[in-house]
Amino acid sequence: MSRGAEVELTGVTRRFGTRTAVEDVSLTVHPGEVLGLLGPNGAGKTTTMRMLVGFLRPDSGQIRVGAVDAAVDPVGVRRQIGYLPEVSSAYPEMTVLDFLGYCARLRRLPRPTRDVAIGRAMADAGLAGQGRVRIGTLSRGYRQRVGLAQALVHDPDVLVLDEPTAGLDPRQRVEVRDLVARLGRTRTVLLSSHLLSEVTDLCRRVAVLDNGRLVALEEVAVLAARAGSRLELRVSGSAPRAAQAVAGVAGVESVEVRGQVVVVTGDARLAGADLAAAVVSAGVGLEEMRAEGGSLEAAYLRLVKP
Amino acid sequence: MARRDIRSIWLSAYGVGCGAGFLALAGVLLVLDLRSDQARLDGWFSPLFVVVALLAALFSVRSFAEEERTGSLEILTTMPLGRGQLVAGKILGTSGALMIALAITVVCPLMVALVGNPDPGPILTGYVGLVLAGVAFASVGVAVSAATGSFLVAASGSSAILLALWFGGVLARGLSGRLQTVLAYLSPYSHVTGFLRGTLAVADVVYFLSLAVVGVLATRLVLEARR
Repeated sequence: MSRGAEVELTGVTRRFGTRTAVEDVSLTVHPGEVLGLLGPNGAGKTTTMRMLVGFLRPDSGQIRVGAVDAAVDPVGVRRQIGYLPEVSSAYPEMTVLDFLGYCARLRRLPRPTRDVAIGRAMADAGLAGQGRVRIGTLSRGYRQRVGLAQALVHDPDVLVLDEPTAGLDPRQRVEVRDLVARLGRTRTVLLSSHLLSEVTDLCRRVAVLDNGRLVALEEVAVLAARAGSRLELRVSGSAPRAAQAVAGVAGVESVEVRGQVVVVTGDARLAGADLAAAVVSAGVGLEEMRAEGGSLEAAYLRLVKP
Repeated sequence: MARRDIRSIWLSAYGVGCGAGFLALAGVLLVLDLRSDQARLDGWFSPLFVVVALLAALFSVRSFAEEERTGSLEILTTMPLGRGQLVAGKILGTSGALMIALAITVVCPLMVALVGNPDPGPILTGYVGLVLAGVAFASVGVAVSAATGSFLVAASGSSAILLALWFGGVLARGLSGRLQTVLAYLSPYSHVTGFLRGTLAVADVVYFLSLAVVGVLATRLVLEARR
């Protein structure tokens, strides 16, 4: 059963001096949803997350978690959130258990349930058996897990994860991805990542930021479909004539001739059958047709300016 | 939080080094003071206030500047704590670490008591003064530490402010008029004399408590401004 809290950002703006890091961003993350936050470096992802968790204050706009307004009750908002920062730095001189105990005390977990909560967070983050190890001696991947464990120790309704798999090896990445997928079934998760495959696997919806502005908030499948398709037609006969014929087909945006191959890109209306018919009716033979569907990567590259 | 910070300071090479330096200086000051062949410690306590100010500056950098440098501040400030609780925890942590250093210096008056018969009153009030000054200096140091992520800037900034306040009082002795009054009032130097003589003046106690409150408010303002 989903018990996450709804997260809502309305018209949130944040400036650093004369630079606007986040401008008029509005988005909602529903309970039990993993929302992916995408964008190039400097797009405003981390600033948006930092405002949500109360590390930064928005210059304007409203942030609400569940029924709690961050401007009215910032502590109440922070109580509901588990946060893994982009650079997860715990205290190197502390052991994993000491650090998680410290976090549990700061989060005012009752003493009788504290040990159970720490054990559960360690197990979830894959830290079993590491309790007595000093954090400073752990690898980067394990330090990231410690950061994840502190975000989970109070069993929060909302998780804000800023690049949770950064610095992890492929096996650890898969483990963390599985964990986020499992947590996302019952919690609200806002996840930023540069790995589009990760976002595709974990998220039904994504928000894309570019230059501080929200340029898309859409289901991954819809966004990918909107990015259009790409088809390669290997023809026998005149490739330029085939290209001329397909240029007039509905949905075609560009046509390129590469030897005997005609490369066609277009939007969601683009249909292989229409292209094949156009080529054949132009008197050119069609030997092979290969289609590539729209991808999140294609959509992302279209949305984000170089 | 305060307990963690105290442990973090005293279990680090940095904290032990600063503490050892402080205690060594306290020992040297004691030797210099006892050259007068009198079992009195006001000549020891007086410069010790300045050394406590320097130690407060060095310890307080761990409160915010060090946390910001290492990145742990982001986790700490997103815990469900009010800003007041955060500031209080940090000041208590730095003050607590200072109190441990001060507690070790009790060896010095005890040694003097073994060879002479010092008046316990000024020693007692001297320590009351050091404790009050320690909390006030720690509070100012924490405020400066909250303003920067640089260890060096925090340490040198706190030291500069505390030493300027102290020597402003020394300077005031050669001045007259309103400037003299203001400098003397603002300086801790003018407010330790009573403690050294064995008296507890309300004005001096209020001064150090006020300085501590100013530090608390300044830290809160700085933290809010930096959000």
